[in-house]
Amino acid sequence: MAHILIADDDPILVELVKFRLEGAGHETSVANDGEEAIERIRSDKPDLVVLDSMMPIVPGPEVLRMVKADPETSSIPVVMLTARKGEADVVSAIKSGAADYLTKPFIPQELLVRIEKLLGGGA
Amino acid sequence: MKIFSSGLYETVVLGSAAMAGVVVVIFLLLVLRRHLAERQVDANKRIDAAITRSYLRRVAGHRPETDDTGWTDERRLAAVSQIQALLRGGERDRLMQIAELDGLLAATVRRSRRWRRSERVNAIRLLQRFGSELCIARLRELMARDRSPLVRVEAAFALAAAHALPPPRETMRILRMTDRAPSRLDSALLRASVPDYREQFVLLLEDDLPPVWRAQLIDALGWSGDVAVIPVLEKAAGDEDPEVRGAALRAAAKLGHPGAREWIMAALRDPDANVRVQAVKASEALGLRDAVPQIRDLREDSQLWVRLRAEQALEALDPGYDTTARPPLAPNPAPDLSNCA
Amino acid sequence: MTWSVVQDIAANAIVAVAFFCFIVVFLRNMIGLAQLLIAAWVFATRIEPSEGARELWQRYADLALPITMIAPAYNEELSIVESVKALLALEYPEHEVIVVNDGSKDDTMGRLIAAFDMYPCERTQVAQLQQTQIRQTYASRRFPNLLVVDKENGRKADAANAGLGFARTPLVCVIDADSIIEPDGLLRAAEPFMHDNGRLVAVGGAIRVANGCTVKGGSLQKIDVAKALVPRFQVVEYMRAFLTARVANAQTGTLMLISGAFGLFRRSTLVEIGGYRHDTVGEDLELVVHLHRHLREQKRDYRFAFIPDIVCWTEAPAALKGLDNQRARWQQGSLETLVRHRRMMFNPRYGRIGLLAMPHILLEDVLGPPAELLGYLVLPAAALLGLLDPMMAVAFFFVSIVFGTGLSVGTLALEEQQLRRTPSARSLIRIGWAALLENFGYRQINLWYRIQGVRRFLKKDSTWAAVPRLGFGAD
Repeated sequence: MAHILIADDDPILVELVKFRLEGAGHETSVANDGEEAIERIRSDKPDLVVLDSMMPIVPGPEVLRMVKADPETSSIPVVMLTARKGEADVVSAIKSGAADYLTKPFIPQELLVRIEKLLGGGA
Repeated sequence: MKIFSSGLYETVVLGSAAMAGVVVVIFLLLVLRRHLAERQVDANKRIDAAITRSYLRRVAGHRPETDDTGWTDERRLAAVSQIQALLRGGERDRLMQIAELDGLLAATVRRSRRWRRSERVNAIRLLQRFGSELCIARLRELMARDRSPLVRVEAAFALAAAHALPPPRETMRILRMTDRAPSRLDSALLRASVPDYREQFVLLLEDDLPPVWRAQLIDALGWSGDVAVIPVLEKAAGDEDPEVRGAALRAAAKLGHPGAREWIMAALRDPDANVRVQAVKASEALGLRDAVPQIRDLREDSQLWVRLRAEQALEALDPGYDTTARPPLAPNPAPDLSNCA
Repeated sequence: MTWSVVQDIAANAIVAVAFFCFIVVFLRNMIGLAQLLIAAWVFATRIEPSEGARELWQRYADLALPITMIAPAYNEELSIVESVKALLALEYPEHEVIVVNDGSKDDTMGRLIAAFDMYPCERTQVAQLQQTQIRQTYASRRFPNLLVVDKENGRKADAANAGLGFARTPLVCVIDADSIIEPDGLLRAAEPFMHDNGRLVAVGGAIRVANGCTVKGGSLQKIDVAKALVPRFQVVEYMRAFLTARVANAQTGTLMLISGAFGLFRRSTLVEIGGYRHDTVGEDLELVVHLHRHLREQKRDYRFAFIPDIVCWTEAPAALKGLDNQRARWQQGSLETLVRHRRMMFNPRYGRIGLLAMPHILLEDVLGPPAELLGYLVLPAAALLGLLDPMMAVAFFFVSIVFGTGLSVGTLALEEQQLRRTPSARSLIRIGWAALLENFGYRQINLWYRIQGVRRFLKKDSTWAAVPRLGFGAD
């Protein structure tokens, strides 16, 4: 069991990811915008972050960059979940330290498997 | 002095007052509606969340809830359409099956007959997700007969996504494409349907079509993902119409197969600047190192857009290429080719 | 000549003025009503973009026309970094951001260099449209789609032209550096280009007042309505301008103004006409009129579109001080444009632009303000002197004030029925109240400011204040 932060401004997506992760026995918390995401990552130190790329206040890639730049949080794996399909976005996300990258629409089972793999690898 | 009778002024006074009065009453009713909706908002949110959760649970194999008061078809449809936009694969199929069992498909078909275009368009997007025979039939009907061209195009896109679009000749006829200049949506539709109808596209090229539309068909072939079309493209690259030649190069760039190498390089010397730009882009897409000397020469091209694109391609093709060593390009009042750059 | 003849002539003159004022005000309001009805029809039949736009763009991202955002900036060190971040974060498949530092006297340039890791680069200017010197262009090590152009100080028109010259994409979007653009505003504004088959030249979008809203990091956090009355009045004005007037104009093919705070254009057409004019205080109105003129003289088939959904929020003057200058400037700019393009007026060669749209600007901006202001004085006076039917004076007040209120409240009703972007019933009441109060004082003060603009125009005063033009009168 792990603590996972879901950072997304779409309540349906949050509900969907939360339902899956909790069903698999994980504990979740939610951030509705980029700023809240950064605060929560710094204070709660979750085991993993599911991060939307398009969020209000601070966009996802910026959150990722800040998380990776801070030595206290840089080891937390981040899975980017986004509606962008551009190749450049994938490359730049992976380059700035995203552990994995999924585009919407996605297969929830796939997200779960990828997350568990990341968590297993880290333990 | 009286030019107008005072009866006219009375009419103006009464008319103004009546108009303002009616409008204010409408406004107050709308405020009241909003106020009532606000009092309901928490309850509504709870219901929507419950519906969403219920569908998520049912997709994961749980039983449906017994208490579903206030779960209108409208609400369920909204929830389903939002969830399905995020899902892919088997789970989405399952969601749509459950929704169909709940009678939401019938509700959507009804919705697709409403007066407001926006309602019909939203219904079309849902029909596409349901994807059953009944939906396809209804979408075909909308594509062929809806009074709004926008709705017809939307239905065509839904059919394309379900791989159920009629063959290109018929699609072009139903949407009356050749009566007008192509839009970007037309390009998108043709590109979307080419994997299903590659042969028909090639056959259609034999028809007597306006060059802009022939160019669209050629362009679409690039999205077929099939290198067997390269000879067709090669023939188009020798077409007398520059738009068709440009489309052939665009398609070749998309396919990215080295079989097109020779004629792409030949097109770097095309008399039409737009075609030269496309040839440079295609060379870059295929990574044609052999084309580097020719592209170097294009830095002295008479057209600014060709020069700019050549610079850009050289940066990608020639790692040793140093942009700063050259003096900046001089601007000139070239005809605009930015649409292809 | 006897005294009674003089008296007679004076009386006749007063009566003539009174009738003129009455007819002008009456006509303006009838046109306002027609616009409201047309807008209501457009809204009732349109396809809402809510679900559509995003899906459309996800499917066909490779067909989206790339856009260059051009953001002229002058002394914006406090907000520029946040604004640029917001611009870079806009949802769009392919967009470049060109910030033009218009010779700022503060540290705008330094903030940009530090925040985005900028370095001097060579970039070819495709078209040279500015009149001032470009000092240097900068590229960013962090964002490949960001370019900063550092130039000598000119005016907004000159800075926008400089940026336009560096743009290479088929579409350009000219904005104010402090415009707050909705995250998907660019997607929605570009959507008409997806349906277009070569005719569409420009797209305008609805703009709202950001006063009272919570703005954070260059984006809008919470929509609310300002407590102060002056911004609230402007909320009503913006709604009237963008929800009814522009929508109706676009529908009838007579859109004459795309705000300088947000406008999407075909780059090539702007370059063809040489971009914005430097010698007017109303460069955005002039631009669209100039486009109409150019395209009609060339006999091209063209179209302007308008997106009634909000694409952009802007800070309006918070008090009368500031508003006075803005309105005077709009008025002056409008007159300058009318004079420059006077040959289009009533000229059938320019079709509905010459026969309808230009005369409408004449009615709104030249005849309207003095006629209404004069009417408030002359009609009661004439009625008291017994020169006129007193009913006429009463009718004048009903047409200008009661009917005017009806139009404003009607626009609010349309907003609530269709867009519903007012946060709550409470704020709706607050705006409704402003729509009522606006007619007693604010409207008249505005007319006064516009008369000041006429004075400035006559004096050929071209002092420039950095306030964006949104223009309500003109259409």
